[in-house]
Amino acid sequence: MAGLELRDIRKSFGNTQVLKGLSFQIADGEFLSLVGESGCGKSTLLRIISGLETPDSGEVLIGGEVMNAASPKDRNISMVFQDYALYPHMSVAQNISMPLIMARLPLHARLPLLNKISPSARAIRPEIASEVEAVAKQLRIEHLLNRRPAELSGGQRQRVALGRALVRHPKLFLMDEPLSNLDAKLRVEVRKEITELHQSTGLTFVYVTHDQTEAMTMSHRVALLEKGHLLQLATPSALYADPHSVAVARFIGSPEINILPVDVSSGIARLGETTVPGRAVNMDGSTLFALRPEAARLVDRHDTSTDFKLGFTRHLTEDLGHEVLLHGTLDALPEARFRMRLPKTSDLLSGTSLDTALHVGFDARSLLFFNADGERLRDAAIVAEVREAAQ
Amino acid sequence: MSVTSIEQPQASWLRFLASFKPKSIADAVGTGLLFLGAWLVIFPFIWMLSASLKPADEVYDSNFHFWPETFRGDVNYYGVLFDQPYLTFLANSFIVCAGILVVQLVTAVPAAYALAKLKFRGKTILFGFVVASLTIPINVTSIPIYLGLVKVGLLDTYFSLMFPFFVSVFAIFLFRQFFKDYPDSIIDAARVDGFSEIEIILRLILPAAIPAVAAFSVFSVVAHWNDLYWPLIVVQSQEKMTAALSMLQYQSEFDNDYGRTFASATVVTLPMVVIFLFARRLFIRSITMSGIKG
Amino acid sequence: MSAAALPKQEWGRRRLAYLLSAPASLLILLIYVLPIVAVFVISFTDYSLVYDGFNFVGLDNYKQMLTDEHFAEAFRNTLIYAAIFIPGAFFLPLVLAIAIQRRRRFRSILEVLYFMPVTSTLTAMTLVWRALLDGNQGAINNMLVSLGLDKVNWLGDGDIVLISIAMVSIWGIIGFNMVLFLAGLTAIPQNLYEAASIDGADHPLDRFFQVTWPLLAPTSLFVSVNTLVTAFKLFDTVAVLTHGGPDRASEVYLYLAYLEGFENFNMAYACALSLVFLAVLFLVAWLQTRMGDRRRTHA
Repeated sequence: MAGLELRDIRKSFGNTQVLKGLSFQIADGEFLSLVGESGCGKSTLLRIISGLETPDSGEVLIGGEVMNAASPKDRNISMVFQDYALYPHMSVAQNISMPLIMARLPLHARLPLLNKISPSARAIRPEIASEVEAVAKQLRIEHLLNRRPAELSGGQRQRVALGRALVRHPKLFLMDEPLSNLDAKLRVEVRKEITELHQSTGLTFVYVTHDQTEAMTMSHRVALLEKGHLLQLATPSALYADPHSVAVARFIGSPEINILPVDVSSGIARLGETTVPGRAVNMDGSTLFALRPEAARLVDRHDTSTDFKLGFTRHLTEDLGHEVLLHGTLDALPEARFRMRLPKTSDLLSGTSLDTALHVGFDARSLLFFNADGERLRDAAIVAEVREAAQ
Repeated sequence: MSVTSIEQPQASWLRFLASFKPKSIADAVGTGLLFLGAWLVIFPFIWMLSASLKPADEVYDSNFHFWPETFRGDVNYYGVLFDQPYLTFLANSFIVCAGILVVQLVTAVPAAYALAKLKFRGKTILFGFVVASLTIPINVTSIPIYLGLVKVGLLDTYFSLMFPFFVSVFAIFLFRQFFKDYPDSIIDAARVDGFSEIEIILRLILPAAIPAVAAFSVFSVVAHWNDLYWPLIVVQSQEKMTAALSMLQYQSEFDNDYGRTFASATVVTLPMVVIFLFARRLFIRSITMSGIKG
Repeated sequence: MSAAALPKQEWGRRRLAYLLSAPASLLILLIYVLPIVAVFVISFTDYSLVYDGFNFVGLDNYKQMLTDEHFAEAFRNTLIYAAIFIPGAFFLPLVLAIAIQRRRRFRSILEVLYFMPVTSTLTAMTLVWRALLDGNQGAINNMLVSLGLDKVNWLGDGDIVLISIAMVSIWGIIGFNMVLFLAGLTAIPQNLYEAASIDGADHPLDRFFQVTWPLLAPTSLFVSVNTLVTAFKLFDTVAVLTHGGPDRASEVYLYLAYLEGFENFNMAYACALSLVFLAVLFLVAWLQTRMGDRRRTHA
């Protein structure tokens, strides 16, 4: 059974179409990230799933049930907001207990004054308190239960927000950029904790982020959105290795993938000294060649072990300790930036200066090809042909 | 909403009209009640305007209709403005409001800047007096100030009308708060750039203070245009009577011409209502700013 | 710039500060400090404008208050008036603000209409109210009659006149307090309502009691204190509408102080009355700060 299913979701604000017909399914217990630049519609989609926003058309199914008309509280979901949205006037314990109080106490027992004398409240409150305590223990915030949000650090507030979402054991756990207000070190830590939380609870998670690293490290599958369209929905490794479009290839991976403006005029592609006859398949003047920064390596001038070997001019070196990033241009394609990601231990780099002539080698099977619309050309014949030409 | 309705291009005015469509019956009922309440609230204005156009015997007609049977608006307003000294009253109110405002700004802005950004001995004491004075209304200090004005023989003058309001502790408090939020780094940068202290005030602080000054000005002018208490105490002659105070004359048998009476009420009320309609944002800001005081 | 020049520059700035604050300081001295001292001193004398000279009489003026039935009456009238005025001046604007805030289309026009009385000159509008409330031919009684009800002697009946005045005052303050509440409501982050609806608090009462009311607390405190002080300061409406009548039934505290000081020229007694009034105002201000502090430390 699908934990969540979306069928042709559309949404416009005024004249702007924010979501242009999105459909996909998430399995029960899956961790899915919605990724994209700001304005791609990912937050709107999350709000539609939560019921805070209604779609103009399409259906939202949670646990197999159509939920379009259901209010957020009837969807059995919970949500962690970007800035946590904790109630500033309530203690941590009160914040976490809110969903339980709303679900279990009758209206009259939730009103001021009346709540003090309501017998049902008296019976249910201890039970709620113990559940709140259990969740707090799980998140290691039991010592903060009597504090107010204003007295907490960013990381602690984050945990309270998680606690408030967890306490009701929802079917669906929604998170809207929950790490964006934390500093870099804490972000990595909480990232790990959320993953562990997902594993221990087994809930279905939908996680919105603009940060591809978060999406790649945490999720089973990633849905990449652009301008209201779903570009690709796949596992992190599939997105990285097998992007359907140049937009996906560009978004995933850091540093960004190299796009090589190879001249493929009159049926021949030239890449340095190598020319590739373009007669095969659908390679034409608008075909894009793309190469991951880590697919290229520095080679000796006389090295012939790679399909391609091209002269490289280095402009900038970023030494990160465990790896080195090189920024520069290929001598054959001086108009395009070329980025490389090398393990620190490259002997060829030691003792060189920016003026030193370097050579870059890579294999034809590492190249990705895209047509004019940015769609991937998958035909194996192209790779074979390029490879043949290179040797 | 169906899919087709989005894809059909609609004329923008149609969409504009559609946006008025109530979301539910309760929503429509609520809006209706709100407008009914609004009608009740502005009814006195409508009644006043209507009465000002009527002859005296029609004003208290038992079935109210806005437009008079015999139109006397021209006569009533002409009478108010030219037979009665209302132009003088309005001019008096205007002079008093303007004079008060100018002196208030000239004294409050510099003092507030000193309190917010400069160090000097007695600063805490001065601010303490400002805060304590916020609570003191004119009603409490009126007797000694009145006696003082009697001593120096300045009763029934513009000066006596304005004097108790020459310093507004509220303005000092408000502007100080405003200046405190002005970044020190910009003032320091200006000093490094060679600005003198006076230049800093004139070229940096004053332009930045304009929104606060504008909002306070509205607050001050409205308060003193409408003030009754103090003019009632110091004004003794028709020559120095303010517009708001003039309304009190109708207590006695000042004028039996009810149409003209309400024409004068309209004339007195109109300036502030017009200012409000043109400077609505400023008005609202002047009120929400007063909330800072708390 | 040399280090030795710094103290000189510092001194320059200090002199500037004195220069800037001198006019305001002098005026505060003349308009607030000296008069308050004078009020204090005069309240212990038998000073009156009509006679020259005066004697110190100790606490006589204050003792007189305890036996003065006009004082007792004015005090009682003020409290009754406040008890009618304050709830209306607080809850009506609160309800209006909540109702108006959600209406995107009509918000500005409603805001303008309800705010009109605030901008108007109260003395002039009170004249209109006197006509509307007229016992014989006023528009309000006409309406009551056409609805088949009895006429009400709004301004002539001692038991009703304070209600009438409170009605006019509420009319005058609705827009003011509504604008304050609207500002407070706008400051509540929208996502708290969203979090509340995810948590299941989507009943209007839940939204109000779990989110709106607690987060509006600072505004509510300010509005209620402001309204309380406005209630005590009632003067204009009484001066124009009733002159304290009928038979002193609407003579409120400040009106009494005015009459004693400027009609009867009992300056000393009026000063004592003023000081008591000021003490009440300071008490209110003190309570307000305390409540504000308590909330802040708890928040």
